[in-house]
Formats: sequence, C-alpha cells, structure tokens
Amino acid sequence: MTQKKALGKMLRQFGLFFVALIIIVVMSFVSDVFLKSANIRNVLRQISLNGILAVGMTFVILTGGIDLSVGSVVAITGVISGSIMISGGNWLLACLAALVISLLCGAINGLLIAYVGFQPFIATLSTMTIGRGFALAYSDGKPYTISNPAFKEIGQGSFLGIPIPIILLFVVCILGIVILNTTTFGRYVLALGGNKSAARLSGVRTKRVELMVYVLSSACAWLVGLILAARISSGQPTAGESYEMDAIAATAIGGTSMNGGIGTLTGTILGFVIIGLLSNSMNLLNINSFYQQIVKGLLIIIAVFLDMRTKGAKA
Amino acid sequence: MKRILGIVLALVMVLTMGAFAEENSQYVIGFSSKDNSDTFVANIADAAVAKAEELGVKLLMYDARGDVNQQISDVETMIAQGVDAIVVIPQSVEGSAPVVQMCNDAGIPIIIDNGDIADKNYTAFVGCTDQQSGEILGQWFVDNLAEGSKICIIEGPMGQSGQVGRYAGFEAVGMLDKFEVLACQTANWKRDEAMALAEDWIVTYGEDLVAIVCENDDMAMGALAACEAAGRDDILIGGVDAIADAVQAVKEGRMEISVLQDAAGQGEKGVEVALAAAKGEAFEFDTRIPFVGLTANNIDAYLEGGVAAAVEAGA
Repeated sequence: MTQKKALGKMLRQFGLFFVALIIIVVMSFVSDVFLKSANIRNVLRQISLNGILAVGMTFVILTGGIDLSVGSVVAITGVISGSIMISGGNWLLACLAALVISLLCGAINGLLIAYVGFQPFIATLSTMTIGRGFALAYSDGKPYTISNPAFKEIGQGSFLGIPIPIILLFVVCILGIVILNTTTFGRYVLALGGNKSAARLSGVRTKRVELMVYVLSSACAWLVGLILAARISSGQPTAGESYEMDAIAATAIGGTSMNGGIGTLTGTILGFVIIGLLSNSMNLLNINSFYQQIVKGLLIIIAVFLDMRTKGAKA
Repeated sequence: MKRILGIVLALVMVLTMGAFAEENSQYVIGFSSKDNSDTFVANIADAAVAKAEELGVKLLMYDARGDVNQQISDVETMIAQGVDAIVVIPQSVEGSAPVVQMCNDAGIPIIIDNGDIADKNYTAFVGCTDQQSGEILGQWFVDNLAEGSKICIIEGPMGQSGQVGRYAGFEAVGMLDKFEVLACQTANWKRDEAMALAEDWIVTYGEDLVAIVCENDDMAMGALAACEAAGRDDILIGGVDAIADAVQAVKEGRMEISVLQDAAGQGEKGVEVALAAAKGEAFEFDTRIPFVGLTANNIDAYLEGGVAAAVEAGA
C-alpha cells in the first residue's frame, strides 16, 4: 500500500468518524435527552442486531460475495429455539439446536458458492427464500411465545449495568477485528477478494476460506436471532425481514468495496453506528419514517462517492 | 305406533341430512386469502376450511402471500376452474378491486371477507371494517384518559387498509383532538420496530408520555416490552387483534385493551354466505361480525366463554 493510499484511507475513516461526531454534536444541542445514559443505552441496544450481522457481512463482502440469507436465518433461529422451549426443552439445548441449523444454512451457502460455482447473489437469494419458507412452514406461520427467564436474559438482561446485547456486540466486533487482522484466515479472506486466482495459485485453499465466511455470517445471524427472540419474548417466522439490507448498508458506508479485497471492520463499525445514530436522532425529532429511508439511502450514496474519490476507482 | 313413527322420522331425518351433504358436495368454493403467514388471517382461513368440511362442500384455498398481483392471478385461476362462488380477503383496498369485476363478468358470486375493497359491486360482504376496530380502540382511550393527555401512536404499514382504517377510526371518535399526539410513526406491524420506537419515545418524552396506542397487538407487545424494561408500568397500552400474548397481558393487567375481531366468525360466515349464493338461496348482503374490546372487565368472560361471552360482558 502506497503512502498516498494509506493517507486516503485514514482520511476516509476520519471522515466517517467526523460524520458520527457531527450527528452527536448537533443532536446534543437539538435534543436535551440525546446524551442521557438511557438514550445512549437505547442506541447501543438498537444497533447491536445490525452491528453483529454487519460484522459477518463484512467478511463475506471482503471475499467479493454477498449474503442475503441472514434475515431468514434470524427467523429460523427464533422459531427453532422458541418451539423447543415451548415444548419444555432446556434453553441451552434450544440455542444449540438453532446453532446447528444456522451453521447448516451457512454451509449450504458456502457449498453452493465455493464448490458448485453459484454466484453468491443467486445462491443466497435462493437460501433466503427457502429459509423464510422453512421458518413459516415449521411454525405454521405462528409466533412462539417465549417465557423462559434465562433465555430472555440474552436480550433483556444486563451485566454490570451494561445490556447483554451490547456486550455481545462488543465481543463480536473485537473477535472479528482479531480474526481479520491477525490470523492467516483473515489474510486469506482479503487475498481472496483481491484476486481469487492469485490467491489460489499462491496456495490459499480458496474454496475452504469461501465456505468458512458464509458459515461465519450465519453464525452471526444465529446470535442476532437469539437476541431478537429474547428481546421480544417471541420466536417469529416473519422476524428479521430485510435485515440483510441494513447489514449491507453498514458495510458499504464503512467503505468495504462490493468487489471484495478492500475494507476494514472499523469502517463497518462506524457504518452501523452512523445508521443507528441517524435513526435514533430522527425518532427523537419525530421525523416521519419515510424521510428516514431517504436519508439512509442518501448516506450510502455519499459514503460510496467519497470512497470512489479517495480511492480513485469505481466502487 | 309411536315408536314406529319415531323410527320413520329419524330415518327421514338421517336421509335428508345425507341428501343435504350430498347436495353440498356438488359445489366448489374458491377462497383467496391475502396472507396465511399472518396469524389473524390464518385463523380466518382455518375456520373457513373447517366450516366447509362441516357443510360437506369442497373448498379450494389460495394464499396470495401478501402480494396483490398473486391474489388477482389466484382469482383468475379459480374462475378458469369454474368454481361456484369465490370468497376473497382483499390484500389491498384499491389493488385487489379488479377481482370484483372479473367475477361479475364470469357470473360467479363474489364474497368479500374481512377487509374493505374499492369496488362495491360485490355479491356480499362479511366481516368488519378496520375503521370500527380503530373506533373501539380510540373510544377506550377517549373514555379513560383526561383531555390533553400526551400520547404516541404506532401505525401499521402506511397505506394498508388496516392502517388507513384504524387511523380514520381514531379520528372519528375524536381521539386525535382530545389528546396531544406527541409522535405518530409506523412500525410496519413489527414487534421489534415498535419496541425501538417506544424506547426512543420513553427517553424523549419521559413522564409526559401516558399512553401508546398501537394499530395491532404485535406492535403493542413491543411497546409494552419497552415500557416494562424502562420501569414505566404506568404507560397505558392498547392494540388490535387479541393475539394470545396480548390476551394474557390484558388478563395480567399489564395492557389495557386489545380489540378482538372474531376471526373464526368471519371465516365461517364467509363460507356460509358463499354456499347460499352458489345455490341461489337467500343471504344477507352485508353481514357484520361483532367486534369487542377486551379489557379487564370482560377478559375473564372471554377466556371462559369465548367471543359471545365477551360481547355480552361488554368492554
């Protein structure tokens, strides 16, 4: 990486940080509750779901892929764990059973893409539809009410005064950064997105790495499914619809190239923090949700535009 | 002699009953549901299927899965199959309207069930309007809250008949005039979205906020969870649909009102009217299935004796 590029990257991340800072400063003047600890807890709790998904999504997009199936995996996790608890099963067992199915979904994605040669968009579009259908068929379209207190802690509880979803988000982000930046797997992920053939020729087991990122993304979706079900005390087959879009948006705003190879998790973290701050700010100001959608779209355009300028290439 | 007469009478009854079923079995009723993944709609559809079985008439169930276009093709398919009557739960007030003309052109009786439709040239209507549920919900708050109280409203997807009708109901009973509406946003019938909205509102408006009126129960459950997590048991919550969780919450005094639409009644009556229309027998043009708000006053009656008992006990 040349010095100029490194400088551009720094400027970009600084730019994102600056955007987040502007929102915080403006909002602290406009709204007297914005900086209250209760509101900060709300923002963090609300971004925890999208944040965890976005970490998994970043790995996938870094390899040049995409994972549209995460919203369906969220729903599958909710109905599987909910149904097991409703029929008297142990909550840990419920979580594990959902994990097995979720990892299976990820493995199917990975096998279709890495080994059969499907395009990631098509493969995960199919598993998204199949997954949603499965969640609906499995639950007969009805939600499972969850009353298990231990399970509900995952979404509603706190540890040392910090809500558990926020702790989980923190752990996932740290783990993600460590895996991406310090392990060989992380380097392979970046190498794969940079140039697949070159990576394969230099001895990277590209297929295995590609399979693993989809499994990783599904694992994130599983965790989100648990948190969501615990948070709303119910496993709903329609839960998590269009969650994949917010995760992709956070990744794009964070500067990860949709072609793969270029991107950082710190960028993604800033991406979902900014999305969360904006949506919270607009709720506090009671701005109609129609405009919230427009703002979110504009934000992606601006972020990607800046990205093109600093990299001097098409995004 | 008396005994012989009795036996003869019994025989006649059995024979005519057989003939009754025999006669019904010639008829085929087509049923176009808007979305059987919605718990409430699925209850209507299930009741229709059960009623058809009881009457010995053949029922073809089509599920549009929330897609207007699919609903129109479903009705085209039923017309092509030459069914004797068609029952439609409209997906969209305007979008589903063409099915009325299509059936009229084909000379097939068309019964509109549960929701409003723009083309009023249908054979018969069974159900209750969304405006009525909004009126019952709004009236409860009008009766129980002081003038100028500060409330928030959580709406369904903007433009859907449930949202338009229920909001019109709030307006019709003067709820919007009597109270100060701090905020009014959509949560798209979703529990998690409603929960995020309520969390932000509780922080923003603090003690000022006394009630959150929700256009369905799933969103009400989300708002309730947010209130309980914030220790704001004082905020009054109301919803529509009487889903299991909401009924439980009303029973426990955590939620004030859930407006019950008699789903089973609408499904059964729809099939009865369709059969009568197919046979050319007399039927009501406009059948209204009673609505009732479930509150602390009648929740026990409802749990013991069902809808009829709840109506009798009054809201």
